Amino acid sequence: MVEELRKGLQQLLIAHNGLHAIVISDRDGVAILKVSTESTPELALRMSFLSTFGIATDQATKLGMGKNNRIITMYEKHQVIQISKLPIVITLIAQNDANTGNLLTLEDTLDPLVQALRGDVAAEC
Amino acid sequence: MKMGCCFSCNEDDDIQSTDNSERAQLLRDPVSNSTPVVRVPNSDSLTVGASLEGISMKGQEDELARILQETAAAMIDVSGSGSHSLDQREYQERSRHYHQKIQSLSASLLRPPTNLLGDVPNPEKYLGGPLISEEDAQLMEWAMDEVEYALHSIRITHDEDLVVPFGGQQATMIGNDC
Repeated sequence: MVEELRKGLQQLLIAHNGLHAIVISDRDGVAILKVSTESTPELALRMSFLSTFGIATDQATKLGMGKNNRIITMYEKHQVIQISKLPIVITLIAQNDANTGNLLTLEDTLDPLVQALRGDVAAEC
Repeated sequence: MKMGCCFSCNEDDDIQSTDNSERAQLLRDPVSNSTPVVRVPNSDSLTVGASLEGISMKGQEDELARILQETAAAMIDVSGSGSHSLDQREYQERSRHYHQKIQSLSASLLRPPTNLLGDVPNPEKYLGGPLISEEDAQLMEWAMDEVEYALHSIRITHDEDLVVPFGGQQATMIGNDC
């Protein structure tokens, strides 16, 4: 079943132009499901990078504009979209000129999977 | 000039302090009754509400602690002091646990989004079928021509002035200056 899920995520990678990696992880950056292409910077797939979102989203919530849901970070060659589904975090790594709005629609596509994982991850964290 | 003095000899049971300085409070402030004045060391401030002092101080400490907690929670700190990196053992344990959990998940959870265009089996059946009639094609062309004409015919007509002066007199003066 894991391979089927990975295959499904790979198809999403192909379907979205410029998308390099999809990582579904917990708050501390431990990957639950991960698919990536060779173009993905390896550092961006590490726990130390993925875990920064947990801190950032908590602090961003204190800015007085309500709860933080997503953080989009643009780099020179890549963009990183992190979506809060705490205790689960969805991280999308794409080319910097990829269609960010189109990538954000992946939140709805991945939602059934995230909901199924939520209970198990909450128990672990 | 005549001067007089008025004072009260009745001792207030609530006042524990017998401070007779010029700052001694004769009347209790009805507004601040619930928040008694606390004596600060080496100052002339008064401690009022002796019998309620124990409860008030405790309540005040709780209140201060609550304010402190709320302030600390609202403070923005990006130094990463809240982060704790997992050790290798815990990381592997969690990875293993998640791997076990996703084994039981169905691949149908990743259904693709619904598309406007749907795929049909045996497309050659439709592609090789009879063409639409000449009349239908002409009707479609006529309808599209009408739509295009209507779109190009849209005009905006204004009935009122495009420039509306505010404050008639002032606008008139500005107009005269120009």
